Amino acid sequence: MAPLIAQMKEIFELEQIAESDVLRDYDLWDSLSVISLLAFIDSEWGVTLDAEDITEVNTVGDLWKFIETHIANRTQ
Amino acid sequence: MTVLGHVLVTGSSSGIGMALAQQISRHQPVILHGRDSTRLKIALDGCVSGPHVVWQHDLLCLHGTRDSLKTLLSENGIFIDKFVHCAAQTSVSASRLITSNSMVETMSVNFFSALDITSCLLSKRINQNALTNILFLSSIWGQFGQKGHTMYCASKGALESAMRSLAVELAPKVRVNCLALGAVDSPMASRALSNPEIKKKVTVDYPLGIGSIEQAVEVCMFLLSQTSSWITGQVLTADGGRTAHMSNKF
Repeated sequence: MAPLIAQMKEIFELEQIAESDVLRDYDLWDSLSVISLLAFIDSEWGVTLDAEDITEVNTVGDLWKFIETHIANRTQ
Repeated sequence: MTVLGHVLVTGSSSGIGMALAQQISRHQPVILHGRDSTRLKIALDGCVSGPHVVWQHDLLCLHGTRDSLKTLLSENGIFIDKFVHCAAQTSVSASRLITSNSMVETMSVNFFSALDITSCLLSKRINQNALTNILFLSSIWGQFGQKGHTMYCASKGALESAMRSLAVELAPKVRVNCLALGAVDSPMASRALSNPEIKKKVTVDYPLGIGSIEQAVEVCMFLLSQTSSWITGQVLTADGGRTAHMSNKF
């Protein structure tokens, strides 16, 4: 989860990112920052997600769980 | 009988590059370039049989390109008379997140490698003065703005500028042109087009709809053929009318 947090600090220009943060509450949460986040997830874990896939994802912790599920599905 | 030169197609392990290499293979030997040997093998299997050659090389490795190409030509005893640069990479990101690494990567694959290969093929010692035609695949986004694509757009703009200077410098022996494509239903675009919302918007933006790989290949074949013998230094646009479409969209 550490690489995700580190990258999210860059993307959303924040000092702290907590697991309980609600994604949509970030000031810089917009279509381009979402695409940038998805591009990072793809290059880091080989998990290809579309913006639509994460509309249901609420918090940072949920996002990490979502990524983990995809990693697990991929390696099966 | 004249010995036919090869046509080098970079990025021919998928999409437009692969379809183009396979089409050319019906008339002339090709050099299929790509990074992945498995995918290159598949691309080669789709070619009409001939003395085709595979060049596995990563264009990110900027300093190795020239030596690798030189070795390929001398080991196979071949020369190149037409060069098509299809290889390109795109990464979407907000401009405030562009890194120096991603800048160098995009420019290396999309632009520097095209000039590096061109320069190499103009060497008489390496390529026997055989080069007659250069085609750089560009994009309508080389001339227009697109959110999140700053580096990709810049790399295509650079290709188009370089193309004009090359055309002037190398005439009359070598013709040099760009093909600026709009959205083509290729692997590069498939991810974006798999989103129904984007697909719907694109359909409205393109009076003739999005292009097929076959349509893109047809225009490449025109620019590579004698039919276009008086055309050099041009960016030819094939975009289904996208850049002509300025009316309000309903």
